[in-house]
Amino acid sequence: MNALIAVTTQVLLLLAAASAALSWRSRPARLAALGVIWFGGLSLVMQALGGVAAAGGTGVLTPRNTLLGAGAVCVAAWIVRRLATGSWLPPAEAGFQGWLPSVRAAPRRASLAPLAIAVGAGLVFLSFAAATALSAPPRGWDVLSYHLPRAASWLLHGGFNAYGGTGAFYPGNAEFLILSTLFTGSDRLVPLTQLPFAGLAAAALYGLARLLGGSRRAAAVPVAVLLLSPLLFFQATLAKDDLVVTALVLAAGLFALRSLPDGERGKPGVPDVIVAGLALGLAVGTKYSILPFAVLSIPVFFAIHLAARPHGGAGSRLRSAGAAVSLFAAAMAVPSAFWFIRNAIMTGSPLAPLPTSLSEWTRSVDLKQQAYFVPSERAWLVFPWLDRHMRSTYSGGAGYGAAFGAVFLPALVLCAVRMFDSRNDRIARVRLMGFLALIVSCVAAWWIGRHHLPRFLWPAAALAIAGAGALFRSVTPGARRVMTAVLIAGLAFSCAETFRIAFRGDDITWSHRGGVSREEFYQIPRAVHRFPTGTKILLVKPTGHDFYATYRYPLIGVPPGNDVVMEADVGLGIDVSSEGVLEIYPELRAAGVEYVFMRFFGKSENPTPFDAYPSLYPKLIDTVQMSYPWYRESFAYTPEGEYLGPGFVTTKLYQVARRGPDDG
Amino acid sequence: MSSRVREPQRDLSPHRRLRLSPVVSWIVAALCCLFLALYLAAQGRAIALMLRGFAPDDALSDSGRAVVEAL
Repeated sequence: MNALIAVTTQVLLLLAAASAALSWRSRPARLAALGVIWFGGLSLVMQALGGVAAAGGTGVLTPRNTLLGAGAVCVAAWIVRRLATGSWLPPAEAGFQGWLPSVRAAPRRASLAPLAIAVGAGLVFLSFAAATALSAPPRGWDVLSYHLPRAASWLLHGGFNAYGGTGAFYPGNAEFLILSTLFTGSDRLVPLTQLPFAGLAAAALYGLARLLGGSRRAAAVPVAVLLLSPLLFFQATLAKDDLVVTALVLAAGLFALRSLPDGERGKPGVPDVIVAGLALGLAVGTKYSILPFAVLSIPVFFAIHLAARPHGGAGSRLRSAGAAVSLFAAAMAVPSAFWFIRNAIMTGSPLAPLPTSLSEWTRSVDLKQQAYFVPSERAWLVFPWLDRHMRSTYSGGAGYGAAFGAVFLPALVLCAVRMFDSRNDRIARVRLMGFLALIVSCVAAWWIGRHHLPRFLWPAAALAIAGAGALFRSVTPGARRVMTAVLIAGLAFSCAETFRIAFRGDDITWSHRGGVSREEFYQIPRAVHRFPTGTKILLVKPTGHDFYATYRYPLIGVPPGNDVVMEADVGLGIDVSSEGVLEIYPELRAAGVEYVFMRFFGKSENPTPFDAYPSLYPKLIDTVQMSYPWYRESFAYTPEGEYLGPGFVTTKLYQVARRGPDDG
Repeated sequence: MSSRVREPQRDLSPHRRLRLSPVVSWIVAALCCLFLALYLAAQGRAIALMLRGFAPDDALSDSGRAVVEAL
């Protein structure tokens, strides 16, 4: 029943989004608006329900209430449509065919063939990604340690108020999609939650490429580069949020550049301004790393709107551009402000647990993470041609693809040259200026942000490829044939390497040997799966290494499953020493913790401090297993660094005794 | 009232197609070839290392990473 409710909810949200998106005549813009407004509707419904739950009610964020919310959004959207257009029904020209590229409208029938080939190849590529994603339970460090546990906690408690610990205060719009799939009663669709955003990204990128002067044929080039990129393949199989954010930034860029006054006397496109702000706000409400870019985008947006108005007094131009940027910022706040207000109320800082001053942000850049991808800071300048983890190839963290490396820089240079081409229309030149300013802002924001990771830079890379359409259009036919060959070679190489990585035999994470059960995959004791729903388990940090956090989701069992908490959730700073274990016993009892789980790498000869107090912590499980390569940190190496294979993992489960010394 | 869509066609901006001269076009094509070659050289080396048995760096333990970084 819940599965039916979950599906109906999405249908209603899509209907609501369609009623608004039909206002756009441009097909790529229409599709992009559909994606942004659908995701916006979902986020706002769930933010409202979760907020009500946090304010006092519990159990409000349920499948049934979400369905009611989606129904209300749908009715409101169609009423607004009726008021705005005078009709309940969409115009005939915006029927089913109105969502697809029109071959009839093209100057020549063959002109859409490159786009069809790019999208077709992308669909084949991503269908392998989908099959791979479905072959095993959800995986990935971020996914298992906080994205998925958060959504599972919301499902268990019916609201946001119960979750703390790792990633407690992060924005969470992308987790609403995960929660939507959990509403079906299964987590098997969770790895696919990013996949719809490949469509949004492709539509937005095609629209951007056309907007920047690419022909119908040539605009297929950036779409192919994006859809066939290794990073997209791997991200589309993980329930992270990088593809979500990248697609939303592309959509924000498209609508921001479309929103400029149309012609010398035209007015700004108010719907474009609103959707641009909404898209960027959804991204900010999804990932903190996009916040600096959102801040920098405001002056860029203001500048291009000012530059696009050549006539009128200075005051009039400032007022007009100011009104546009105010609307843009307000729309941005709608889907993102909730998380920052919530953080401010709960912790006193809207950015908690991140620092609030710029100097602290720049100081806290994690140089160790950076070293995974480049040998030195200066090497970032050539990263598009390294494009990988150091010494290895693609993953969910890196892989823009060879085709990207081959064409992105000439495309950017051409955009810069055309910006100064006085034969170009003023608006076209301002668009090029805004496009380049957005890319520069995105890279600068990435650099001053906290983590130098290629996947965090993906929005800038995806924007940068949009100019490739105009590049292919500008060269002579002979040179274009050579560039097309380069493009095909680059795409083929990266796709082949992606498949080699994805289906190599020794990695169960991506292997064709999928089909394993979640019990086998996670190696969690059967007893954990049999606990009554809501059983509180404390996941203890056994060593200084943080990989233990990836057991947070597996310990939940089958959602809604167990209530897995970590130290911060129960207000404990657990000292896993002999004395510390004794001291925390009353606090564990007071917090309602029923079991303590530990997993670490190596054999079990090392007793834990919990073993010293069997009356307080009766030991239920103590096993040693050969780990799968999925337990990435358990690899074994020779002293020379040669990979030997997976190592051992030790698992211990203790009960927190109901009657200890302090209970009398 | 008509239900026709009123939104102007904003993405048919009057971009003037920039036609690069044959010389510049071939320079651009040559640069694309060069960038692809750079990319393939870097990736090829990484793939060769992987095929020789090195694990991905993102998968290394601290000790394993220290070993590899020391190489």
